[in-house]
Amino acid sequence: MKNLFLILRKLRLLWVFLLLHGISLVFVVRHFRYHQSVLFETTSPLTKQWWTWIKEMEHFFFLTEENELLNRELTRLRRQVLQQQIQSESLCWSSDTSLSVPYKWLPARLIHLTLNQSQNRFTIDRGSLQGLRADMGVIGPGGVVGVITQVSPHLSTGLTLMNEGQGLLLSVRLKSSGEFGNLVWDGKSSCCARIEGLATHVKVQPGDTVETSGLSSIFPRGLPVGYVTKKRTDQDVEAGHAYIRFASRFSALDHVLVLDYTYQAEQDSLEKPTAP
Amino acid sequence: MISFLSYLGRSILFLLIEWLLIARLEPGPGWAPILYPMFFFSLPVQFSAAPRMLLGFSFGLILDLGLGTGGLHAAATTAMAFVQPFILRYFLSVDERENNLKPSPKSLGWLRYLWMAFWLLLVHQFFFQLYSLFTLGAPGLLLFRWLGNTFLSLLLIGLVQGLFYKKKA
Repeated sequence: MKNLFLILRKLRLLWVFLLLHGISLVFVVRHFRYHQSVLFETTSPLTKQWWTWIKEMEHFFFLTEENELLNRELTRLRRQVLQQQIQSESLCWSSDTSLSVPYKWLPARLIHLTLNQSQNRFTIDRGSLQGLRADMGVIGPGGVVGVITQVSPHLSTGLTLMNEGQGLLLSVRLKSSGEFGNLVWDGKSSCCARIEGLATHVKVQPGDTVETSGLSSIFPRGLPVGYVTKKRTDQDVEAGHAYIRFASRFSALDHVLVLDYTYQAEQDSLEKPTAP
Repeated sequence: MISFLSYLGRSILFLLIEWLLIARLEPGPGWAPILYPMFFFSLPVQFSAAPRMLLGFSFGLILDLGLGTGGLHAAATTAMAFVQPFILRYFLSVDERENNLKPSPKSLGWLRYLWMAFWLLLVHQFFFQLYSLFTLGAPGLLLFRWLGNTFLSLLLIGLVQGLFYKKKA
Protein backbone atom coordinates (compact mmCIF):
# COMPACT_ATOMS: atom_id res chain seq x y z
CA MET A 1 0.00 0.00 0.00
CA LYS A 2 2.81 2.35 0.92
CA ASN A 3 4.54 1.52 -2.36
CA LEU A 4 1.35 2.23 -4.26
CA PHE A 5 1.11 5.68 -2.68
CA LEU A 6 4.75 6.27 -3.55
CA ILE A 7 4.14 5.33 -7.19
CA LEU A 8 1.04 7.52 -7.33
CA ARG A 9 3.02 10.41 -5.83
CA LYS A 10 5.83 9.88 -8.26
CA LEU A 11 3.37 10.10 -11.14
CA ARG A 12 1.61 13.19 -9.80
CA LEU A 13 2.64 15.26 -12.82
CA LEU A 14 1.06 12.71 -15.09
CA TRP A 15 -2.21 12.89 -13.10
CA VAL A 16 -2.22 16.70 -13.33
CA PHE A 17 -1.59 16.47 -17.07
CA LEU A 18 -4.32 13.87 -17.60
CA LEU A 19 -6.77 15.91 -15.56
CA LEU A 20 -6.12 19.19 -17.41
CA HIS A 21 -6.01 17.44 -20.76
CA GLY A 22 -9.25 15.64 -19.96
CA ILE A 23 -10.97 18.91 -19.02
CA SER A 24 -9.77 20.47 -22.28
CA LEU A 25 -11.12 17.53 -24.25
CA VAL A 26 -14.48 17.87 -22.55
CA PHE A 27 -14.57 21.54 -23.61
CA VAL A 28 -13.65 20.55 -27.17
CA VAL A 29 -16.37 17.92 -27.41
CA ARG A 30 -18.97 20.19 -25.83
CA HIS A 31 -18.08 23.01 -28.20
CA PHE A 32 -18.11 21.24 -31.60
CA ARG A 33 -21.17 19.36 -32.86
CA TYR A 34 -19.01 17.33 -35.22
CA HIS A 35 -16.95 16.07 -32.27
CA GLN A 36 -20.12 15.21 -30.39
CA SER A 37 -21.50 13.16 -33.27
CA VAL A 38 -18.16 11.36 -33.80
CA LEU A 39 -17.96 10.59 -30.11
CA PHE A 40 -21.56 9.40 -30.06
CA GLU A 41 -21.03 7.15 -33.09
CA THR A 42 -17.87 5.69 -31.59
CA THR A 43 -19.17 5.15 -28.12
CA SER A 44 -22.80 4.21 -28.81
CA PRO A 45 -22.10 0.43 -29.12
CA LEU A 46 -20.13 0.59 -25.88
CA THR A 47 -22.82 2.67 -24.20
CA LYS A 48 -25.46 0.24 -25.40
CA GLN A 49 -23.48 -2.70 -24.03
CA TRP A 50 -22.93 -0.87 -20.76
CA TRP A 51 -26.64 -0.09 -20.31
CA THR A 52 -27.51 -3.67 -21.22
CA TRP A 53 -25.25 -4.87 -18.39
CA ILE A 54 -26.75 -2.35 -16.00
CA LYS A 55 -30.28 -3.41 -16.97
CA GLU A 56 -29.40 -7.09 -16.57
CA MET A 57 -27.96 -6.40 -13.14
CA GLU A 58 -31.03 -4.40 -12.17
CA HIS A 59 -33.24 -7.25 -13.36
CA PHE A 60 -31.21 -9.71 -11.34
CA PHE A 61 -31.49 -7.68 -8.16
CA PHE A 62 -35.21 -7.09 -8.62
CA LEU A 63 -36.03 -10.72 -9.38
CA THR A 64 -37.48 -11.26 -5.91
CA GLU A 65 -39.87 -8.37 -6.39
CA GLU A 66 -40.80 -9.61 -9.85
CA ASN A 67 -41.38 -13.08 -8.48
CA GLU A 68 -43.74 -11.65 -5.90
CA LEU A 69 -45.65 -9.80 -8.61
CA LEU A 70 -45.79 -12.90 -10.82
CA ASN A 71 -47.01 -14.95 -7.91
CA ARG A 72 -49.77 -12.47 -7.19
CA GLU A 73 -50.71 -12.49 -10.86
CA LEU A 74 -50.68 -16.30 -10.84
CA THR A 75 -52.98 -16.30 -7.83
CA ARG A 76 -55.40 -14.00 -9.61
CA LEU A 77 -55.37 -16.04 -12.80
CA ARG A 78 -55.80 -19.34 -10.95
CA ARG A 79 -58.77 -17.91 -9.16
CA GLN A 80 -60.22 -16.79 -12.48
CA VAL A 81 -59.65 -20.20 -14.08
CA LEU A 82 -61.20 -21.94 -11.11
CA GLN A 83 -64.19 -19.63 -11.20
CA GLN A 84 -64.76 -20.40 -14.87
CA GLN A 85 -64.28 -24.09 -14.25
CA ILE A 86 -66.83 -24.08 -11.45
CA GLN A 87 -69.28 -22.04 -13.45
CA SER A 88 -68.92 -24.28 -16.50
CA GLU A 89 -69.42 -27.41 -14.46
CA SER A 90 -72.38 -25.78 -12.67
CA LEU A 91 -70.94 -26.76 -9.35
CA CYS A 92 -72.10 -23.59 -7.74
CA TRP A 93 -75.78 -22.85 -7.88
CA SER A 94 -75.73 -19.95 -5.55
CA SER A 95 -76.89 -16.64 -6.95
CA ASP A 96 -74.74 -14.89 -4.37
CA THR A 97 -71.67 -13.82 -6.34
CA SER A 98 -69.53 -13.57 -3.22
CA LEU A 99 -69.98 -17.31 -2.78
CA SER A 100 -69.58 -18.22 -6.43
CA VAL A 101 -65.95 -19.30 -5.88
CA PRO A 102 -65.72 -21.54 -2.83
CA TYR A 103 -61.90 -21.49 -2.95
CA LYS A 104 -59.36 -18.85 -2.01
CA TRP A 105 -55.69 -18.90 -2.92
CA LEU A 106 -53.17 -17.47 -0.51
CA PRO A 107 -49.63 -16.87 -1.78
CA ALA A 108 -46.81 -18.19 0.44
CA ARG A 109 -43.13 -18.87 0.23
CA LEU A 110 -41.40 -22.14 0.93
CA ILE A 111 -38.79 -21.81 3.64
CA HIS A 112 -37.93 -25.46 4.24
CA LEU A 113 -38.33 -28.65 2.25
CA THR A 114 -36.97 -32.17 2.60
CA LEU A 115 -36.49 -34.40 -0.42
CA ASN A 116 -34.66 -37.47 0.83
CA GLN A 117 -36.80 -38.68 3.72
CA SER A 118 -39.43 -41.37 3.71
CA GLN A 119 -41.93 -38.71 4.79
CA ASN A 120 -40.92 -35.46 3.17
CA ARG A 121 -42.16 -32.26 4.71
CA PHE A 122 -42.30 -28.59 3.81
CA THR A 123 -42.57 -25.37 5.81
CA ILE A 124 -44.08 -22.15 4.50
CA ASP A 125 -43.92 -18.57 5.77
CA ARG A 126 -47.64 -18.17 6.50
CA GLY A 127 -49.48 -19.32 9.63
CA SER A 128 -52.72 -19.13 11.53
CA LEU A 129 -52.50 -15.34 11.72
CA GLN A 130 -52.91 -15.28 7.95
CA GLY A 131 -55.87 -17.67 8.16
CA LEU A 132 -54.07 -20.95 7.52
CA ARG A 133 -55.15 -24.17 9.20
CA ALA A 134 -54.47 -27.89 8.94
CA ASP A 135 -55.77 -29.84 5.91
CA MET A 136 -55.32 -27.03 3.45
CA GLY A 137 -53.90 -27.96 0.07
CA VAL A 138 -50.69 -26.45 -1.26
CA ILE A 139 -49.83 -26.14 -4.93
CA GLY A 140 -46.77 -24.86 -6.76
CA PRO A 141 -46.22 -23.49 -10.27
CA GLY A 142 -46.41 -27.00 -11.77
CA GLY A 143 -49.15 -28.59 -9.75
CA VAL A 144 -50.00 -30.12 -6.38
CA VAL A 145 -47.28 -29.95 -3.71
CA GLY A 146 -48.86 -31.32 -0.55
CA VAL A 147 -51.16 -30.68 2.40
CA ILE A 148 -50.69 -28.57 5.53
CA THR A 149 -50.66 -30.65 8.69
CA GLN A 150 -49.65 -28.18 11.42
CA VAL A 151 -49.83 -24.45 11.83
CA SER A 152 -48.25 -21.96 14.20
CA PRO A 153 -49.11 -18.23 14.27
CA HIS A 154 -46.51 -17.36 11.62
CA LEU A 155 -45.53 -20.63 9.95
CA SER A 156 -47.12 -23.79 8.65
CA THR A 157 -45.72 -27.20 7.89
CA GLY A 158 -47.10 -30.12 5.96
CA LEU A 159 -46.52 -33.31 3.99
CA THR A 160 -45.50 -33.29 0.36
CA LEU A 161 -46.70 -35.84 -2.18
CA MET A 162 -43.40 -37.64 -1.61
CA ASN A 163 -44.73 -39.66 1.27
CA GLU A 164 -44.39 -43.32 1.97
CA GLY A 165 -47.16 -45.09 3.83
CA GLN A 166 -50.46 -43.56 4.88
CA GLY A 167 -49.25 -40.03 5.65
CA LEU A 168 -51.02 -38.49 2.70
CA LEU A 169 -53.37 -40.44 0.47
CA LEU A 170 -54.32 -38.40 -2.55
CA SER A 171 -57.20 -39.36 -4.78
CA VAL A 172 -56.38 -38.69 -8.43
CA ARG A 173 -57.92 -39.32 -11.81
CA LEU A 174 -56.74 -39.66 -15.37
CA LYS A 175 -57.75 -36.61 -17.31
CA SER A 176 -58.25 -38.56 -20.56
CA SER A 177 -60.60 -41.21 -19.25
CA GLY A 178 -61.74 -39.79 -15.92
CA GLU A 179 -60.77 -43.01 -14.12
CA PHE A 180 -59.91 -42.68 -10.43
CA GLY A 181 -56.96 -44.03 -8.53
CA ASN A 182 -54.76 -43.30 -5.54
CA LEU A 183 -51.34 -41.75 -5.59
CA VAL A 184 -48.61 -43.81 -3.92
CA TRP A 185 -44.97 -42.81 -3.53
CA ASP A 186 -42.53 -45.69 -3.15
CA GLY A 187 -39.72 -43.57 -1.73
CA LYS A 188 -37.33 -44.30 -4.59
CA SER A 189 -37.23 -41.07 -6.54
CA SER A 190 -38.10 -37.44 -5.90
CA CYS A 191 -39.58 -37.10 -9.36
CA CYS A 192 -41.82 -40.11 -9.77
CA ALA A 193 -44.72 -41.95 -8.14
CA ARG A 194 -47.31 -44.62 -8.90
CA ILE A 195 -51.08 -44.66 -9.27
CA GLU A 196 -52.83 -47.62 -7.75
CA GLY A 197 -56.33 -48.92 -8.03
CA LEU A 198 -56.89 -48.34 -11.73
CA ALA A 199 -59.36 -50.66 -13.40
CA THR A 200 -57.83 -53.23 -15.74
CA HIS A 201 -59.73 -52.00 -18.79
CA VAL A 202 -58.39 -48.45 -18.48
CA LYS A 203 -56.11 -47.43 -21.29
CA VAL A 204 -53.15 -45.36 -20.18
CA GLN A 205 -50.84 -43.62 -22.60
CA PRO A 206 -47.45 -42.05 -21.78
CA GLY A 207 -47.97 -38.31 -21.40
CA ASP A 208 -51.52 -38.58 -20.05
CA THR A 209 -52.26 -35.98 -17.39
CA VAL A 210 -53.07 -37.12 -13.89
CA GLU A 211 -55.04 -34.57 -11.88
CA THR A 212 -56.81 -34.21 -8.56
CA SER A 213 -60.13 -36.02 -8.52
CA GLY A 214 -62.00 -33.47 -6.42
CA LEU A 215 -63.24 -36.26 -4.13
CA SER A 216 -61.92 -34.57 -1.01
CA SER A 217 -62.42 -31.25 0.67
CA ILE A 218 -58.74 -30.38 0.23
CA PHE A 219 -58.24 -29.99 -3.54
CA PRO A 220 -60.77 -29.11 -6.20
CA ARG A 221 -60.99 -31.24 -9.31
CA GLY A 222 -58.51 -30.73 -12.13
CA LEU A 223 -55.27 -29.59 -10.50
CA PRO A 224 -52.30 -31.27 -12.20
CA VAL A 225 -50.54 -33.93 -10.12
CA GLY A 226 -48.32 -35.56 -12.73
CA TYR A 227 -47.91 -37.11 -16.16
CA VAL A 228 -47.80 -40.77 -17.11
CA THR A 229 -44.23 -41.71 -17.90
CA LYS A 230 -44.42 -45.17 -19.51
CA LYS A 231 -46.70 -47.69 -21.07
CA ARG A 232 -48.14 -50.20 -18.65
CA THR A 233 -46.91 -53.78 -18.78
CA ASP A 234 -49.35 -56.68 -18.43
CA GLN A 235 -48.19 -56.98 -14.85
CA ASP A 236 -49.02 -53.33 -14.21
CA VAL A 237 -52.43 -53.70 -15.83
CA GLU A 238 -53.10 -56.72 -13.64
CA ALA A 239 -52.07 -54.81 -10.53
CA GLY A 240 -53.91 -51.63 -11.59
CA HIS A 241 -50.73 -49.55 -11.57
CA ALA A 242 -49.50 -46.66 -13.69
CA TYR A 243 -46.28 -44.72 -13.28
CA ILE A 244 -46.17 -40.96 -13.28
CA ARG A 245 -43.75 -38.07 -13.02
CA PHE A 246 -44.79 -35.32 -10.60
CA ALA A 247 -46.06 -32.12 -12.20
CA SER A 248 -44.27 -30.14 -9.48
CA ARG A 249 -40.50 -29.87 -9.57
CA PHE A 250 -39.93 -30.18 -5.84
CA SER A 251 -36.23 -29.40 -5.99
CA ALA A 252 -36.95 -25.99 -7.59
CA LEU A 253 -39.92 -24.90 -5.49
CA ASP A 254 -40.00 -21.40 -4.07
CA HIS A 255 -43.39 -19.69 -4.26
CA VAL A 256 -46.51 -21.73 -3.53
CA LEU A 257 -50.22 -21.13 -3.15
CA VAL A 258 -52.32 -22.37 -0.24
CA LEU A 259 -55.83 -23.43 -1.12
CA ASP A 260 -58.60 -22.49 1.26
CA TYR A 261 -61.90 -24.28 0.63
CA THR A 262 -64.66 -22.16 2.10
CA TYR A 263 -66.98 -25.04 2.86
CA GLN A 264 -64.31 -27.41 4.18
CA ALA A 265 -65.60 -27.42 7.79
CA GLU A 266 -69.17 -27.82 6.59
CA GLN A 267 -68.25 -30.72 4.32
CA ASP A 268 -66.15 -32.42 6.96
CA SER A 269 -68.90 -32.23 9.59
CA LEU A 270 -71.45 -33.49 7.11
CA GLU A 271 -69.29 -36.44 6.07
CA LYS A 272 -68.40 -37.30 9.67
CA PRO A 273 -69.84 -40.72 10.54
CA THR A 274 -72.73 -40.35 12.98
CA ALA A 275 -73.42 -42.80 15.82
CA PRO A 276 -76.27 -45.23 14.96
CA MET B 1 6.60 40.66 -8.11
CA ILE B 2 8.10 42.61 -11.00
CA SER B 3 8.91 39.37 -12.72
CA PHE B 4 5.34 38.13 -12.22
CA LEU B 5 3.90 41.38 -13.64
CA SER B 6 6.31 41.15 -16.54
CA TYR B 7 5.15 37.60 -17.36
CA LEU B 8 1.51 38.64 -16.96
CA GLY B 9 2.00 41.54 -19.31
CA ARG B 10 3.75 39.36 -21.87
CA SER B 11 1.03 36.72 -21.70
CA ILE B 12 -1.65 39.37 -22.28
CA LEU B 13 0.38 40.72 -25.17
CA PHE B 14 0.67 37.27 -26.75
CA LEU B 15 -3.05 36.69 -26.28
CA LEU B 16 -3.87 39.96 -28.00
CA ILE B 17 -1.47 39.22 -30.86
CA GLU B 18 -3.05 35.78 -31.31
CA TRP B 19 -6.62 37.14 -31.20
CA LEU B 20 -6.14 40.25 -33.26
CA LEU B 21 -3.40 39.32 -35.68
CA ILE B 22 -2.38 35.71 -36.06
CA ALA B 23 -5.95 34.33 -36.04
CA ARG B 24 -6.77 36.64 -38.94
CA LEU B 25 -3.91 35.44 -41.11
CA GLU B 26 -5.81 32.41 -42.46
CA PRO B 27 -3.26 31.20 -45.04
CA GLY B 28 -5.71 28.45 -46.09
CA PRO B 29 -8.17 25.88 -44.74
CA GLY B 30 -6.50 23.81 -42.02
CA TRP B 31 -3.53 26.15 -41.79
CA ALA B 32 -3.21 27.90 -38.46
CA PRO B 33 0.29 29.04 -37.51
CA ILE B 34 0.73 30.04 -33.89
CA LEU B 35 3.08 32.37 -32.12
CA TYR B 36 2.17 32.11 -28.45
CA PRO B 37 4.31 28.98 -27.71
CA MET B 38 7.19 31.45 -27.83
CA PHE B 39 5.97 32.77 -24.48
CA PHE B 40 6.24 29.27 -22.98
CA PHE B 41 9.68 28.68 -24.53
CA SER B 42 10.96 31.76 -22.72
CA LEU B 43 9.86 30.64 -19.24
CA PRO B 44 12.78 30.01 -16.85
CA VAL B 45 14.05 26.43 -16.81
CA GLN B 46 13.35 25.98 -13.09
CA PHE B 47 9.72 27.00 -13.48
CA SER B 48 7.99 23.95 -11.92
CA ALA B 49 6.23 21.48 -14.15
CA ALA B 50 2.80 21.56 -12.49
CA PRO B 51 2.44 25.40 -12.51
CA ARG B 52 3.75 25.33 -16.09
CA MET B 53 0.93 22.97 -17.06
CA LEU B 54 -1.64 25.05 -15.17
CA LEU B 55 -0.38 28.16 -16.90
CA GLY B 56 -0.53 26.41 -20.27
CA PHE B 57 -4.04 25.17 -19.60
CA SER B 58 -5.41 28.56 -18.48
CA PHE B 59 -3.61 30.44 -21.27
CA GLY B 60 -4.96 27.99 -23.85
CA LEU B 61 -8.46 28.17 -22.42
CA ILE B 62 -8.54 31.98 -22.49
CA LEU B 63 -7.29 31.85 -26.07
CA ASP B 64 -9.99 29.30 -26.92
CA LEU B 65 -12.66 31.56 -25.43
CA GLY B 66 -11.55 34.39 -27.69
CA LEU B 67 -11.14 32.27 -30.82
CA GLY B 68 -14.15 29.99 -30.29
CA THR B 69 -12.08 26.84 -30.52
CA GLY B 70 -13.57 24.98 -27.54
CA GLY B 71 -10.54 23.65 -25.72
CA LEU B 72 -8.19 22.84 -28.62
CA HIS B 73 -5.47 25.28 -27.57
CA ALA B 74 -5.87 24.37 -23.90
CA ALA B 75 -5.37 20.65 -24.65
CA ALA B 76 -2.41 21.23 -26.96
CA THR B 77 -0.69 23.77 -24.69
CA THR B 78 -1.14 21.54 -21.64
CA ALA B 79 0.50 18.68 -23.54
CA MET B 80 3.35 20.92 -24.65
CA ALA B 81 3.87 22.19 -21.08
CA PHE B 82 3.91 18.59 -19.84
CA VAL B 83 6.75 17.52 -22.14
CA GLN B 84 8.69 20.80 -21.95
CA PRO B 85 10.76 19.91 -18.82
CA PHE B 86 11.86 16.63 -20.45
CA ILE B 87 12.86 18.37 -23.67
CA LEU B 88 14.68 21.12 -21.76
CA ARG B 89 16.57 18.47 -19.79
CA TYR B 90 17.70 17.01 -23.10
CA PHE B 91 18.74 20.33 -24.69
CA LEU B 92 20.29 22.13 -21.72
CA SER B 93 23.42 21.30 -19.78
CA VAL B 94 23.40 20.89 -16.00
CA ASP B 95 25.01 24.32 -15.58
CA GLU B 96 22.41 25.98 -17.77
CA ARG B 97 19.63 24.36 -15.79
CA GLU B 98 21.16 25.30 -12.44
CA ASN B 99 21.55 28.93 -13.61
CA ASN B 100 17.80 29.01 -14.31
CA LEU B 101 18.34 29.91 -17.94
CA LYS B 102 15.57 31.55 -19.96
CA PRO B 103 15.72 29.85 -23.37
CA SER B 104 16.10 32.31 -26.25
CA PRO B 105 18.16 32.44 -29.49
CA LYS B 106 20.60 34.61 -27.61
CA SER B 107 21.08 32.27 -24.64
CA LEU B 108 20.93 28.97 -26.54
CA GLY B 109 22.03 29.92 -30.01
CA TRP B 110 19.75 29.87 -33.04
CA LEU B 111 20.16 26.20 -33.88
CA ARG B 112 19.53 24.85 -30.41
CA TYR B 113 16.64 27.24 -29.89
CA LEU B 114 14.89 26.32 -33.13
CA TRP B 115 15.56 22.64 -32.58
CA MET B 116 13.98 22.84 -29.11
CA ALA B 117 11.07 24.90 -30.49
CA PHE B 118 10.57 22.36 -33.26
CA TRP B 119 10.06 19.45 -30.84
CA LEU B 120 7.74 21.42 -28.60
CA LEU B 121 5.71 22.67 -31.55
CA LEU B 122 5.58 19.12 -32.87
CA VAL B 123 3.89 18.01 -29.64
CA HIS B 124 1.59 21.03 -29.59
CA GLN B 125 0.51 20.64 -33.20
CA PHE B 126 0.04 16.91 -32.92
CA PHE B 127 -2.64 17.28 -30.25
CA PHE B 128 -4.09 20.40 -31.85
CA GLN B 129 -4.53 18.79 -35.26
CA LEU B 130 -5.61 15.44 -33.83
CA TYR B 131 -8.41 17.02 -31.81
CA SER B 132 -9.31 19.37 -34.67
CA LEU B 133 -9.80 16.53 -37.13
CA PHE B 134 -11.03 14.20 -34.37
CA THR B 135 -10.58 11.13 -36.51
CA LEU B 136 -7.94 8.52 -37.16
CA GLY B 137 -9.52 7.76 -40.51
CA ALA B 138 -7.42 10.35 -42.38
CA PRO B 139 -3.82 9.74 -41.29
CA GLY B 140 -2.42 11.44 -44.40
CA LEU B 141 -4.30 14.66 -43.77
CA LEU B 142 -3.37 14.56 -40.09
CA LEU B 143 0.33 14.10 -40.92
CA PHE B 144 0.23 16.85 -43.53
CA ARG B 145 -1.46 19.38 -41.27
CA TRP B 146 0.64 18.36 -38.28
CA LEU B 147 4.01 18.80 -39.99
CA GLY B 148 2.86 21.72 -42.15
CA ASN B 149 1.59 23.76 -39.23
CA THR B 150 4.63 22.85 -37.14
CA PHE B 151 6.99 24.25 -39.78
CA LEU B 152 4.79 27.27 -40.42
CA SER B 153 4.66 28.12 -36.70
CA LEU B 154 8.39 27.52 -36.39
CA LEU B 155 8.96 29.92 -39.29
CA LEU B 156 6.73 32.53 -37.69
CA ILE B 157 8.48 32.23 -34.32
CA GLY B 158 11.89 32.39 -36.02
CA LEU B 159 10.86 35.51 -37.92
CA VAL B 160 9.55 37.28 -34.81
CA GLN B 161 12.64 36.31 -32.82
CA GLY B 162 14.85 37.51 -35.69
CA LEU B 163 12.99 40.81 -36.03
CA PHE B 164 12.83 41.82 -32.38
CA TYR B 165 15.40 40.07 -30.26
CA LYS B 166 18.22 40.44 -32.68
CA LYS B 167 17.95 44.21 -32.59
CA LYS B 168 17.74 44.14 -28.81
CA ALA B 169 20.95 42.15 -28.66
